[in-house]
Amino acid sequence: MRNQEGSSVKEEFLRKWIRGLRRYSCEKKNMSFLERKKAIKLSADLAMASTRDKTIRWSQALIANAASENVCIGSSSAPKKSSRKKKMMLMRRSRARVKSVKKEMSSARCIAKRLMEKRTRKLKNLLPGGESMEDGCLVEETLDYIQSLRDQIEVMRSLLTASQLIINPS
Amino acid sequence: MVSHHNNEFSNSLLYPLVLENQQGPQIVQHMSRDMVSNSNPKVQVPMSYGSGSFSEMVGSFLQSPNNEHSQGEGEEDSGSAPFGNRRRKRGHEYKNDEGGVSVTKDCSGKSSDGGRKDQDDQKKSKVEENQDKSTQSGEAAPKENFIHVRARRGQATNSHSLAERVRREKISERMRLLQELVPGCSKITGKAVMLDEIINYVQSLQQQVEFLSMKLATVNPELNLDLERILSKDILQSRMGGYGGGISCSQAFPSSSFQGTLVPMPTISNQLPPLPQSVLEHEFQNLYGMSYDSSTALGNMGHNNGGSKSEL
Repeated sequence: MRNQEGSSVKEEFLRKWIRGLRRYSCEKKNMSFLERKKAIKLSADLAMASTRDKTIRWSQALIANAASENVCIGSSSAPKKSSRKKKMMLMRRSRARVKSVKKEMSSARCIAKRLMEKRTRKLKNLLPGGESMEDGCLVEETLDYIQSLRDQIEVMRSLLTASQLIINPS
Repeated sequence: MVSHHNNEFSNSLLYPLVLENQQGPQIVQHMSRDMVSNSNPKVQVPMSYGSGSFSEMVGSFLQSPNNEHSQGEGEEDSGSAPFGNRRRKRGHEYKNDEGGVSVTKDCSGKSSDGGRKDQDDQKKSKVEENQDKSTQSGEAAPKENFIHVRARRGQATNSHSLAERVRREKISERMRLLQELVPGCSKITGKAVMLDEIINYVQSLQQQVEFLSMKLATVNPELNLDLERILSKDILQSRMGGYGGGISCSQAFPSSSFQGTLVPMPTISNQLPPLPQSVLEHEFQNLYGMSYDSSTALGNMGHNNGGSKSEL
């Protein structure tokens, strides 16, 4: 799906990430180790999420979550309100469509169904903003999320090795 | 469950064809199954309709496929009238912005069939799905793609179950895509196990991100990523073999350098020190027009590195 734009996505992600980190370092000097780690991770996640379309749900949910927790960097202030509204609308609509789960007697089919439900719930918890998604959408979003995570990890790892090399050239 | 899966898998062959063709003319695809062999689905040549309204679409659909059906299903119908044994349904499936699917039935379109419903072996019915993908249409009228699905022999032709089946096949197709993404899942047949693997994979990816960000925090104690240095080092590393002095600086962000760094790094890392600092500074001034004080940056790095180590 995203094979063609792979490298440009990584570029974009890197640029946004660096921009976010710079802003962070300007605001706060002498951050503790944990703060630094959180800042790095958050800006990386936000940068990755912002490279995706508005139609991709997990990215919007991620940005909305970060904004609501008030840990956002300046770059994400623009989509703050719109993503929050979208999130509220999504939750409202999904609640209207939630079907009641009937507790049935144990039979093979019910057991299988229960297993599947357990797993889909787990997956929904993993995915940012996944609780308000239905099955088909969930699988699609997972696909996209996995690809984004892979890209993110690749860029982060290469940056790490590059900075390590600078410090220890031997 | 497995046999059920096989059916769905073979049935979903056509869906990628339809689902991907969402630009350009609308495409209607007919799917008919050979009743006897049940192995080779016969795919009719898709017809394209102009982007008109639904009524136009229905009109043309009523007229033109008449011939096709008489040819294609002659053998199956055993010479009966083309639409004689079929019960035709019209269902609309609208995709909302958030991807929810609601099925509304419009049964008034059963025109030529009248009320003839044959619920015996040769049961076929069609469900048209109208997918409004407003993100892809550049025209005023929303594009409509219709997927025609025929129920197979012995299957329920309730429009609900048909829509259900379509949805299930879409999901299984996406799961197959996921199978290719997640490593080591090619042999797994079965949604539950597949989901387990996916969950594990996503968790491990997330943990990797955490770990990498932690490592980056230790390496870089002040978040002052001297990116220009890093990138130029990458550029230089990736082109070490080619040309030493004359380095083209036109590409500031060559993404290929990132892939390149991972591979040649163990071998090239020994060659870094001999690279003259003057070259680096010259590069930076060309690229970014700022004065780059390499000595102070290095001093910072070294000092902070010691500091961070004591922290840990």
